Amino acid sequence: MPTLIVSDQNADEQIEQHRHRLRGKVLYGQAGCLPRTIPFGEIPDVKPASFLFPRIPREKWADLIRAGQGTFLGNLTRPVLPPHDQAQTNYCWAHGSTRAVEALRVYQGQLPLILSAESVAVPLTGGQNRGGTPDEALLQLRKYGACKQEFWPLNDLNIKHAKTGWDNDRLDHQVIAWADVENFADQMTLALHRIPVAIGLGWWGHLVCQLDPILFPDGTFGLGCDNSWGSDYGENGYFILTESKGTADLGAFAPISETFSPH
Amino acid sequence: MPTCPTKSFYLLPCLFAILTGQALAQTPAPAIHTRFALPLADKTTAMAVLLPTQDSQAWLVYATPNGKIGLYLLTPTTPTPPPEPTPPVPPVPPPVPTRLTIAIVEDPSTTTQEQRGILSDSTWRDIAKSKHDFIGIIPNDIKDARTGLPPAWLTPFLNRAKLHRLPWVIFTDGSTGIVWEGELPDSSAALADLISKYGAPPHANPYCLRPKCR
Repeated sequence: MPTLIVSDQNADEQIEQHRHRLRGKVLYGQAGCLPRTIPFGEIPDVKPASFLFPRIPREKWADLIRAGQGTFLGNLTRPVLPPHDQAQTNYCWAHGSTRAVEALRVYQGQLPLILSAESVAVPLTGGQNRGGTPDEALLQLRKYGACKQEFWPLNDLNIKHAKTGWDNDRLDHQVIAWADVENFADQMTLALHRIPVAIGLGWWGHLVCQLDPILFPDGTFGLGCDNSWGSDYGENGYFILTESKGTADLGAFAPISETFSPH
Repeated sequence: MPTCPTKSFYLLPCLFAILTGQALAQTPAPAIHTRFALPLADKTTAMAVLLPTQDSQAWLVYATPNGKIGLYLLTPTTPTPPPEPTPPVPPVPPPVPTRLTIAIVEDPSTTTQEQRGILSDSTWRDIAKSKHDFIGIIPNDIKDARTGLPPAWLTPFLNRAKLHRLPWVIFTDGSTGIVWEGELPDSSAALADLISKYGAPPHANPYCLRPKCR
C-alpha cells in the first residue's frame, strides 16, 4: 500500500473517514489534542529547540534529506515499533507523546518497548475520557514517565486495573530533557537530527509523533509520522503530512534524552 | 687482510691466512710434528713445524729463506658450536575475536546532525546488535529518577567518556577491560569496520573457550 499523504486536498476526507476515531472532536466538539496551556518558552527547564539545535536553513533541507536517506528515525522505528491504537479514547495526546519516547529509545539503541499511554493520561484525567494538551503529557512524562504496556491493559481508563508495580516501572521510562518546538523550521531541524517530536495539530484536533523529514518530488517538504489509530491507518500507522498540515500549532515537544532501562 | 676473531675457531688457519694474505676459507690446517711449507705474504716460503706443549697449546716455529726465525704460541680454542638453527616461528594466530560490549556516550544537545546520521545508520547498528552486546547511545545527562544519580551499570561508560569529546565510542570485552575507545568515526562504514576489526563474530573464533563463544 502506498504511504498515505495527508495534504490540503484530502485533509477533510481524513476527518470524515475517521469520524469514529475522532470521537471527542466529532461527537462532543472536544478535540483529543487541546492547545498548549503553557506558552512557548515558559516551561521551566525546557529549552527552546532552536537553542539546542540551531535551525537548519530551508535551502539546505533538500540536500540533507537526500544525503540521509535510509538513516532517518522512521527507518529505525518502523520495523520494531507496532502502531499505537487509542481506539475510542481521546488520549492521542498521551499516545503520540509516549510514541515519541519509544522512538527516542530506539534511537538510543534500547530494547524497543511499547509504553502505556494510559499510565501517562489516567493519573491526570482521573480516568475521564478527555482530550489533553501536549504540555500535560510532557510534564507527566518528565515527572513520572510511562510504564510498559504490559503493566496496564490497553485503553483501560481505570487505574485500579493497572498491575502492581506499574508506578515503579514508569520511572524506568522517564524523559530527562525536552525541547520546546516553535515552528515548522524547528520541526524539520529536529527531524533532520533524528529526534522525534510530538506535534499537536489544530486542523485535526489531534496529536501524532513526527519521525522523518520528507522531500516531495516537487521540492516541497513534509513529515513522516506515526499515528495512534492502529495498523489500518496509513502504512501500519505510518503516514506523511505536508508542511501545511504538519505544522504544529497546538504545541510540540521533542524528548532529547530518556532514562536508560537495563535490557 | 683477513681478520682473526678474538676466539678463533681455527686459530692456525687464521694465522696462516694473516701470514700469507690468503683467504681464510682456503687455508687447510697442518698436522703436528710435520714440517710444512708456510707461504708468507712477501711471496717467499718459510719452513715451519708445529710443536705441541703440555697444556694442549702448540708452538709454531718457522724459518724464512733469509734466516729469520719466528715463534708463535698457538692456543687452540674450543670450537664454537655452530649457532642453533632458529626454531621455526609458529604462525601468529589472528587476534582473538571478542564479543564486544559496545556503548556510545553522547551529549544529546551537542551531537551534530551529521553525527546523528552516523549513529542512526543501520550499517553498524545491525552488526552491533546481532553479533555483540550493544548497550546503546547513552545520554551524558542520564539519571535514575529514584536516586537522582546516573544508573550504576552505566557509570563506568559515563566516567570513561567524561574527559573526551562526545560522542565517545567504547568497546569492552565485557569482563577484563577496554578493547578500543575513541571519537565517533566520520562515517557509518568506518564505525562498522572498527567493530569488525576489534570484535569478530564469536562463532568464527576457534580460540575462544568462553561458554558464550560455544
